[in-house]
Amino acid sequence: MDNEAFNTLKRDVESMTEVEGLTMTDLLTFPDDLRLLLNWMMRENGVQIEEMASYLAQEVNEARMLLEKMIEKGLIEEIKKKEEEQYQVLVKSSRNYRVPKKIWQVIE
Amino acid sequence: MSKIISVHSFRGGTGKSNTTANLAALLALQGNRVGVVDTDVQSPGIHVLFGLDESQMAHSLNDYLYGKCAITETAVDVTSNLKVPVKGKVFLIPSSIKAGEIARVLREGYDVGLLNDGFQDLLEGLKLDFLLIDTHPGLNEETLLSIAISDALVIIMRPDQQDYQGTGVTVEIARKLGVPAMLLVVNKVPQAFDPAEVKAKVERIYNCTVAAVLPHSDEMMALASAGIFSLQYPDHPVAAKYKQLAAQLMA
Repeated sequence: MDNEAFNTLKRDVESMTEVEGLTMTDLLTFPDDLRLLLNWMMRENGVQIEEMASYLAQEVNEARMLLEKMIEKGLIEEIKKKEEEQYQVLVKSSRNYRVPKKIWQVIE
Repeated sequence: MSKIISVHSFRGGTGKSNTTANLAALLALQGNRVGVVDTDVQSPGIHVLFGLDESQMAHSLNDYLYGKCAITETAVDVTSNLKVPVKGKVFLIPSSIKAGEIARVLREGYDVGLLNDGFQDLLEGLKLDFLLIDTHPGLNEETLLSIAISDALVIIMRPDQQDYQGTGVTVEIARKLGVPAMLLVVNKVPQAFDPAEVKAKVERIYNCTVAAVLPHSDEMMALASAGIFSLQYPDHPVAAKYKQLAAQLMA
């Protein structure tokens, strides 16, 4: 990811309203780079800061700032796995949840 | 490296569970340890293909989703039910077939995030090479999550106008979710159709590779989910197609 795309990604995260976890339908409405980043994190089921920096092709400090912002927005959480700090996507519970109408707008 | 494979169709009745069960058995025949999760909690059925009845289910996926047990405790080793010598293993994670538990899912929903954690626990706990997810048809949060975390997505469709439209939606979603590999399977193709023409048409419409075109089979209809077709009819043309598909997933 080049610096311009990374800066756009940061702006996209900063401009988001806070959520308490992601729904898959929300994910589909996100800008491409943010959606692909979150998809990748979900598939990895937890990533370390160095892996994140490598994915973004950025310095660790830059990746850390973005992760902190994503935690603040309620998109991801920090967890401890096998004594290592990792970051994983926070998936919202679907209890009493119904797919919103916007799912159809997303795929139109 | 283990792989998560979702088997999905936009509409019901496409042969999703049959395909999942056949792939699981064929992968196990090759020596793989395979898990099969029935995430079709609203209308479970794949347990029938593995000859599993309610008395053999100590726990179900529903128990895990409502915090009653670990997901690995719900896994039933159904390898011996295949009734042929198998080098690998097949574990089934069934959904409950109790009316009250299905009604609870419909009424309350469940914590979708638990599914992702559960899949990872199964991969590690059962040392799986493949985890196959038999999804609920159509799109909801659960199927979207399954698609999102899959290494490969098998989309089943029939050569039917309703399926053509719905499959387009699924393909679009899978692309948005960045699924690394997508395999289209056209199932129940009437004998009167030219498989090569069907393949070319579907590939042209979706700009996606068709992994297999499976002809309609009276023998499969007659088996009526009473077993795994490719094990009972190993020399049948449909079994050959399933083997090709399994080989593509192992590649």
